[in-house]
Amino acid sequence: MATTVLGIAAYYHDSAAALVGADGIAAAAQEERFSRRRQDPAFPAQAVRYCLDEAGMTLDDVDAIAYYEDPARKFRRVLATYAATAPHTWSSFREVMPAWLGWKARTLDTVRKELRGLGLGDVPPVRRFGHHESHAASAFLPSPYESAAVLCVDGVGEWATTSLWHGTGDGLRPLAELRFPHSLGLLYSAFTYFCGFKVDSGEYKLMGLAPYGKPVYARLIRERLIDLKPDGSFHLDTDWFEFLHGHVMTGRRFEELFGGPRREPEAALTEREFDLAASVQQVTEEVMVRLARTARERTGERRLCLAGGVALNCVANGRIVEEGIFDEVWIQPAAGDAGGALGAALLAQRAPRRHPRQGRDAMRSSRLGPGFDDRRIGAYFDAHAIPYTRLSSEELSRRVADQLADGKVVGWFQGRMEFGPRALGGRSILGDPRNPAMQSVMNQKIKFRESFRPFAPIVLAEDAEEYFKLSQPSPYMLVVAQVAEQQRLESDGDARGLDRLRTARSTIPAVTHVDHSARIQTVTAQADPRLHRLLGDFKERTGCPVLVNTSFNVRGEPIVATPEDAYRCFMRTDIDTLAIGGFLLAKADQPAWTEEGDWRDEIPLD
Amino acid sequence: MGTARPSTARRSTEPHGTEPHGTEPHGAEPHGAEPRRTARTDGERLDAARRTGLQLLLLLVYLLVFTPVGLVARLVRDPLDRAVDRSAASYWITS
Repeated sequence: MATTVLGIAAYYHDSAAALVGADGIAAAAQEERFSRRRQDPAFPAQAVRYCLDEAGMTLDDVDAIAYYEDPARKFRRVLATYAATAPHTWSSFREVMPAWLGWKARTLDTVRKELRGLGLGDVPPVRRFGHHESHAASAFLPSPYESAAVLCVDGVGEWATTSLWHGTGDGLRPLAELRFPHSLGLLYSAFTYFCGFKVDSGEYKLMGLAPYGKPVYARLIRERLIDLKPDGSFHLDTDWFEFLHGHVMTGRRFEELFGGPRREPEAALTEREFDLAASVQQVTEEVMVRLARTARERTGERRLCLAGGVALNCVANGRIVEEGIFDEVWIQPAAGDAGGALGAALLAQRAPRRHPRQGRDAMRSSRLGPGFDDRRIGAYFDAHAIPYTRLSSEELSRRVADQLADGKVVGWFQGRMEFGPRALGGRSILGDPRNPAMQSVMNQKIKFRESFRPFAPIVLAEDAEEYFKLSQPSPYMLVVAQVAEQQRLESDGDARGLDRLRTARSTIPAVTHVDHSARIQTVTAQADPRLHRLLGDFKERTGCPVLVNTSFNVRGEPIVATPEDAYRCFMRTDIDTLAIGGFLLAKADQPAWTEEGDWRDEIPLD
Repeated sequence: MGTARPSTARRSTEPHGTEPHGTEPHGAEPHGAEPRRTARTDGERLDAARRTGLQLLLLLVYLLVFTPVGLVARLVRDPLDRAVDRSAASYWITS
């Protein structure tokens, strides 16, 4: 049994490293946060350095390296795909093969070499695990349950695209799977592409767009694109897609089916995109609910663990919760590929699971990234003559609550950075949800992103029921539920499309989506004492225990990692106040911010 | 092979078609191309020659191995099991 393991996910998108030791998960982080390239697929050298540093270790202290997928098996799938599509895929073959022949098929050697190149000690044995096996481990092993059904749904790893597992005291047992090219993740990505968004990052936008439309194409999707069985298993009819053949997800046949060409990126959104989004979202939810029912039937378990990129579809997760198929659902906060680094490390470690007996998960609130103490933060500010006010944590919390109540937007940088795509109160931008203008202010002046995109609420766990119809905790912002009836307002039923944004739909309009849904994060004092205190202070001041919480970054940029990143983002945007450690910075006090050129040109659109 | 190393992989096209990552339509050169240079050094000429050689080899392998093997394989059993069977009860593959 290995006691200390370094897990690595790399070379696809969102590379990451995770370190697990005798005391559980010591550290985990995505490379993008250090390299400042969104979803950086490079070897996660800086994340590895950080993880070792956090634990005060070198590679000499690590017993094993765990890689999150099986490159040789993946290569065989690539070869099978070319055999299945020749002679139509030459242009793809000639582009893809050199990398595979050069190094990708021997990825584990490359990982070894990269680690050696860090000069941090001798590289321990490198072990590999299956892509879905790593996902399943990341879903079950850190979960708060002694035993559970486990469901992994994503684009594709080696072959599996959907897999069902039974997690017990003896570990994870595979039960059944669906294989490439039959993939719910790819179906969703095809629509993401067709609606003019980027594959692998625009899926959130499609999900956010869905409530503006009507699912008028859902029947067509069921009839032509996917053959869905009552047990949730399915095959895609790949003739309608292009992803087996070329450089794109969809082509002429898809256009014929949906009556026109795909939307050009950044072009105006029309009713058709709203309806396409609503349709594929409805089908996705239907598949996920059926998969969950099968998971329940085949395992007899009352609890479900989820991971894989599709498990980031918090609306579908909300449906599973709402349907009451399971007593409770736990979703790995790093459900995408970055979480595979953690899953693989936990698999290699094979440590006994003690946390379920204490009724908690092992994720440490997903605050597994770098933290900065006040000495370090203060030294940075002093070195750059940046004016600040130093406060006790109680006073800082009160002052921030006052400013939020006055309509100010606050950058909130506290404690360790989150692992996974969501900002959960470590690297967040906060605002007043009661303010009807807050959504468009935050979208357009702070985040520089599309006006339709919704914001998520954080709520005191003890007050969650008062505001939302949520039957279980949602500590990782991965479950969507309806705003409670008593908070809703009469809405203008005639508004259509994006006009619906202008209608206040509840007492917390900034976080109420057009269908009265909200992507909720419940906050307990145990999980995050500082954020809990701030919510309490805001409630004391306003009567409202809810805040708007969005990630601390601008569109297309990774979430900020360091005080330097945070200050830069604060100065580039209309954020009014920065609360970082024990320091409070007012925008009005800051010296003028100058940069060469337009920084927005350097950040690619997401 | 002298082809894309991992350090440059971030800039290289991820596999199109066969892998969904590759299907990222804008992903081909997401972070900007290398600076243009006009004069070619001997090393660059050698690299270009090797790339051409490799492409030729790949073309031969694709035409002489993948195409016939693929066509025959599909007659026996589709390597990707793409068939849609509306009358089947389930598509689950039991582990």
